[in-house]
This record gives sequence, structure tokens and C-alpha cells, in this order.
Amino acid sequence: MKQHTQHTQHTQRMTRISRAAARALLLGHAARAALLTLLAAPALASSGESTRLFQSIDTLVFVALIALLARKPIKEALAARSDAVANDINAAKALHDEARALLTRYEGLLSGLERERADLLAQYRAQGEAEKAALIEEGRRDAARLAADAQRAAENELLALQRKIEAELVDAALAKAEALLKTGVGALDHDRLTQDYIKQVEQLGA
Amino acid sequence: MREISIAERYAIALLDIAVEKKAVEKFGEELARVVKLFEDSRELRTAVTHPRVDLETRKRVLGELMARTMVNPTCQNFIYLLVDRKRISALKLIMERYAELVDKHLGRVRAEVTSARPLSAPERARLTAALSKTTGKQVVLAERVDPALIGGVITRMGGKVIDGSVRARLAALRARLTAAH
Repeated sequence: MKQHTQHTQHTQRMTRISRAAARALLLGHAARAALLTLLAAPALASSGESTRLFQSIDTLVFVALIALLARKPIKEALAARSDAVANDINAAKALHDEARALLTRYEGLLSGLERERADLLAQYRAQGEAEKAALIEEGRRDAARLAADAQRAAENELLALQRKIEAELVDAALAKAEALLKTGVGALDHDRLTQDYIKQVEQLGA
Repeated sequence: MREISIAERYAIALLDIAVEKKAVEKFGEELARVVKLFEDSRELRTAVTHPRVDLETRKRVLGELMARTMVNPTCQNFIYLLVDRKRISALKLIMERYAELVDKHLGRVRAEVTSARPLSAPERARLTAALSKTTGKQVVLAERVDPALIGGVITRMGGKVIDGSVRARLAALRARLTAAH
């Protein structure tokens, strides 16, 4: 493929050289004719009006020769230039298209990134909200449990205190009763208690 | 535990001799007298049990003491035997076990009776009769007075306790009042 391209370029270059040689030969003939005309003109001109006429003719011939000889090269040069410009424009357009494609791609990527960022943010926000709700719920449960524990502890403490007070009351009452009995039990009471006891033992044997 | 077992063996041996000599209760009383002498005199306990006092001195001291308290020769020999075999420290246990064996031998049971004030003779007799009827055996009372009972009587007989004291009633009342709450 590369060799073929090189061969084509070589052929084109040779064609251009042949054309330029032909143009140079033709241009040489034309120049010689114009020179002869110009040289002959002063000799032919004997008056002033004739001189101006011949000068005008010379100029026209020169211009015509120039136009005749230089038209094609100029046209070709302009065409080449136009082609080069068109190629440049095409290349620039291709580059532009490529840049645009890249831009579109990057915009797409950026847009994707933006969406991803938004999605992530939304996801994180949702997770945060869920976690917050869970924490609040857990906090409520803990608070409720603590309150229940505190109430139970208070009730237990109250009950223990109540029992302690009752025990103290019982102790105090019995201590008082014991003191009264110690001083109040007389001989008759002792007799009665002993008789009751003996009766109790007798009933065991009955 | 080992001392109890030793005491048991010596008590059984002494009972055999006492039965043979028909002095079952007399031997018990004499043993109790010697034990009381030991309990009342620390000097005597030291003289008889101290390792630095030789055997002859121990026996001589005990011999004089037992002669004064009119302990019969069989019991004296029994106590000398305990000294020889270094078992004199188990004398109290032997005496207690001997008393139990004697009670069993004579078909009687001991009852420890504690009262807030001393029992009168009729009360004692009536209580003994009631306890004998309950156990079906002859009952021997061992009385003790404890004013802390406030009133009433407690009898401990074998493993059984019959508590009719005011103190026990107060304790029962305390338990009921406490349990009610």
C-alpha cells in the first residue's frame, strides 16, 4: 500500500515536469515573437501617433502573450492552491469533527460522571438517612430500656426499703413484746406455761 | 472421729466389767466425779496430761485424788490404764459414751429439759411420765434452767426437740410476720 502510494506520487511528479518543459518551450517561442515585434515597431513608426499606436499594440500583444502563456500555470497553481486549501479545510474539518467527537465523548463522560456523582450522593444520602433513622430508633429503644430499668430498680429499691422498714417494725414490736414478757411473766404464768407444755407432751404420747 | 471411736471401745470394755460386777450405774457415777474433778482443776489437767510430767507422777497424783474421792479399785485401774496408754484426754468422751451405753443397757433414755425456772417435783414427775409414755422407755431427766427462754420448757431427747418456750413462740411469730410481707 505504501509502495503503491509512492509510485503514484512519482508518476504525478514526472507528468508535472513534462508539462512545465512544454510550457517553457512555448513561452520561449512567444517571447521571441514579441521581441521581434517590439524591435520592429520603432523602425516602422515614423510619426508620433504611429508610435503610440504601436506601443499600444505592443502592450496588448505582450499582455496577450502573457495571458496566453501564463494562464495555464497560474490556473494550475491556483487550482493546486485551491486543492491544498480544500485539503487543509478538509483536514481541519476532520480534526474539528474528531475534536467534536472527542468533546461529545468527554461531555458524555462528564455527564456520566455527573450522573454517577449524583447517584452516589443520593445513595450516600439515603444510607445516611437510613443510618440516622436506625440510630434514632436505637436511641429510643435504649432510652426506653433505661427508663424501664430505672423504674424497675426504683421499684425494687422501694420494695426492699419497705421490707426493711417492716422488718425493723417487726423487730421493734417483738423486742418490745419480749421486754414486756420478761418483766411481766410471773410465777403463775410460769406455772401455766409449764402445765401447758406437759399437756402438749402428754398429747404426743396419747 | 477417731477419738469417738476410741472412747466407744473403752466404754464398751468398762461396761462389760461393770455388768459383771453389777456396778453399772456406780461406775458411771464415779467416772462422772473424776471428769468433774478434771474440769474444775486446770492444775490437775496439766499434771495428768503435760508431756514433761512422767507417768509415775501422773499415776501418783491421780491415785491420791481418787482415794480421796472414794473411787473403787476397778475404776482406778481403768483410769491408770488410760494414763498408760495416753488416752486420759478422752476420759470425758468415754464417760459420755459409757452413760449412753448404760442407758441402752438398762432400757432407758435421757432427756435434757431446759426451763425458764426450776421445775417443781410434781411437774418433773408428770413430765417424766409423759415422756416415758411417748418413748415407751424409762426417761431420765437432765434439768437445766435458762431464763432467756422467758417462759415454758424445751426438751431434747435423742434427736428430737419439743420446744414450748416463749422465746420459740416469739421466733415463730417473727417468722410469720416477716413471711407475710
